[in-house]
Amino acid sequence: MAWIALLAIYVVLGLVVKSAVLNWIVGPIFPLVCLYLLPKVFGRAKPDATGDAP
Amino acid sequence: MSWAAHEFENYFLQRHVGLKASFLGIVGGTFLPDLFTKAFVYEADNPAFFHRGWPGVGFTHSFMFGVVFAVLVLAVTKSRSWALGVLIGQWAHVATDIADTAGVMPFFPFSTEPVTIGMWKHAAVAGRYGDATAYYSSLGGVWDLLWLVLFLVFATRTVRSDYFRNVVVAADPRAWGWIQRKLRVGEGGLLLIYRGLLFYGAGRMISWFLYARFTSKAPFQPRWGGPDFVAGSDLSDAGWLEVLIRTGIGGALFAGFLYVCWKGFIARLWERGEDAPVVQRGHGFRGAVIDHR
Repeated sequence: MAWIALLAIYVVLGLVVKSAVLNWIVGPIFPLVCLYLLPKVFGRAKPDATGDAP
Repeated sequence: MSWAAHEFENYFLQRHVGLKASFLGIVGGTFLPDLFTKAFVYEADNPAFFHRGWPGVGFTHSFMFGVVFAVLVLAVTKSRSWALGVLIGQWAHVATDIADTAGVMPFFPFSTEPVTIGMWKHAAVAGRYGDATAYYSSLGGVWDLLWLVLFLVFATRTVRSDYFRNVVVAADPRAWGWIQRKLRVGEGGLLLIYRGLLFYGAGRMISWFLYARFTSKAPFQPRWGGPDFVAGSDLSDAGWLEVLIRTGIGGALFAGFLYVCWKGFIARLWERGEDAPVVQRGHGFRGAVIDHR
């Protein structure tokens, strides 16, 4: 579910700001930033990015 | 050019090379043709010719370009996995870019004849957003979807955490270890980086398709050679027979040149190369490259 929600957010951001988000630098690291680094920065539960569903 | 297809095909390739090539090398190879040139394409007077023609930067979309970089990678890093990954990724990019109307010169410099199946229009002449609109209004968007389906049917196991650990990282422990140390992330973070390319491909495919439909309001025209609202960009007026003959000669010369280079110095570089401990590399093409897992 997290991935689906993240994809929806990315698509909406992409529609709004286009190439600023839809590029080969921001796109591939978007999941790392949102699902791993931000939770780590804000001190939430240990980021859990494993699991077999893409 | 292909868009998200270039992301999805990396995982499809990974499925077939298993431990024998570096995924990061494949990604690097896939990026290589457009890496130094794409930003300038939209500013060119004749974007299609600049991107794929000669004189222009069309040589970046030739098999020779991939060979040169792969040999350089092998010479500098001694990593067979990286050299193979770069070669496979770059050749896959070249092969899929044959589908747009600008085509590629696969056997440059032995043939400068563009080869294309003209499935959709090379639309860089319409600017960056026009290009996206055109691509996702044509069979190009369908092409991306096809590669996503191929990934879903044949390669979903490649994004599992156990596959990542046991195959992707095991095939390239130095590079993934370096990333882990530099970014100070755990295995979960590495896995997100690995899956990130797939995420990017899916995200941009959906975003640009919706942009084309609802922002640009362009008609969806999934027919051969479309879309109709973009000017054509054929780089050659040669008939199919001339293309076949010139490309055939170029291909034969390319193969001969590769053979001479292999015997002359590439084989020595390959023998000198190194593999990750888990890699058991055989001889011949299948033994050296293929590893279905």
